[in-house]
Amino acid sequence: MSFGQLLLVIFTYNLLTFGNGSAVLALLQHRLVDDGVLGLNQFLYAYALGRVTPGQNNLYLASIGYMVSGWLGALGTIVAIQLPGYLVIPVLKGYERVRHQRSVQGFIRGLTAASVGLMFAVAFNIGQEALTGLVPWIVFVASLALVFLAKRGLLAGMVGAAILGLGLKFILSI
Amino acid sequence: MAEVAETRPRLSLAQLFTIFFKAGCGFGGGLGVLALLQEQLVTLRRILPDKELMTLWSIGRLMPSGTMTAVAFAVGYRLCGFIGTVVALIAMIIPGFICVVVLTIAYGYLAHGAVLEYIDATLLPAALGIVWISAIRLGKPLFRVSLDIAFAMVACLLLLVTHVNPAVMLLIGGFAGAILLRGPSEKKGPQEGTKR
Repeated sequence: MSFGQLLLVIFTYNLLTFGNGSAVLALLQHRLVDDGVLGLNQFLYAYALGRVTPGQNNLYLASIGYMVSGWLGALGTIVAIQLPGYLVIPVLKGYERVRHQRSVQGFIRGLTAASVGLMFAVAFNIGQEALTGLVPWIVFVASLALVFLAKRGLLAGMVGAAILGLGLKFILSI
Repeated sequence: MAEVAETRPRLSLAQLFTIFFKAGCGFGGGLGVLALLQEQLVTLRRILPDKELMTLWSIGRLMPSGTMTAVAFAVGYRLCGFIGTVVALIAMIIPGFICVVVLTIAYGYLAHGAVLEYIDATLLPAALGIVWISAIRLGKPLFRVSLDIAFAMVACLLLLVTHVNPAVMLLIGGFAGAILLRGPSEKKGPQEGTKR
């Protein structure tokens, strides 16, 4: 697969699925793995990186880009998936003009309420994937305790809890 | 965004870069990033009301890109104009991008080892903590007896049960809100309070 084809595939799939991660994943697996561009292990490894690295989950596409076309592929895929985000600027400009209309306020209230529901649904789903044993549960509770009880910042709470988890995993593996 | 421009807070590009770079260090996907962004923009620097950030995030979910990309563009544009969009995005992406590419280069060494398993068992649960905190903080204005909270609960249940595309669910929520929730919420945010 050429660099241009890679960009076209990723740009198109991302656009068609409105950035829905799992839908993009399914389409990409079909296009890249089934067509022999990448091995299944490579593809799954790239996807796993999206979970264990900081930032948005869709950064795993940089890994796929790198596997297919090196540094240029990694940079190109990231640019390709971010560009459609610029649509938000005209959308917000339009929103500012009509935000005082009652139906628009209702739309935003409904949208925001559904978004809160979505956040809890995502948090629940991540919990199902992440809390698979005693150590993950301890790490999870520790991160909450560090932020709420010890009044640490979110990043400090997360890093502190993760270090605790690494220590526990290490001790349990001895 | 004319009204917004009048009240645009002063923020240098370096400060914008710092805020989004810190946010980009969040684990747990977009919500982890949002949690750190909320801490920076709403709690520590008071640049945005939490309701405004929540609205941007909600609209961002409807964009054909990563949600946080749209949020970075929106906040960057609002605070520092067009150049702000580029700075915010680059800052937010750098931590994850570098980690992803470095770990991809190390594929031969890591693919069959236990390193990723270790990271998965420790960083993900830690990130889950801040994801829940973010959801609670941003959802707080809704936590009262109202139609809004009913909307949120129904959306959450439907998403968990039906696995419908989140963008579709949000649009349904928006259109249902346009019919059933006409008008601003009872509890006004700081920005709304200054509007006519």
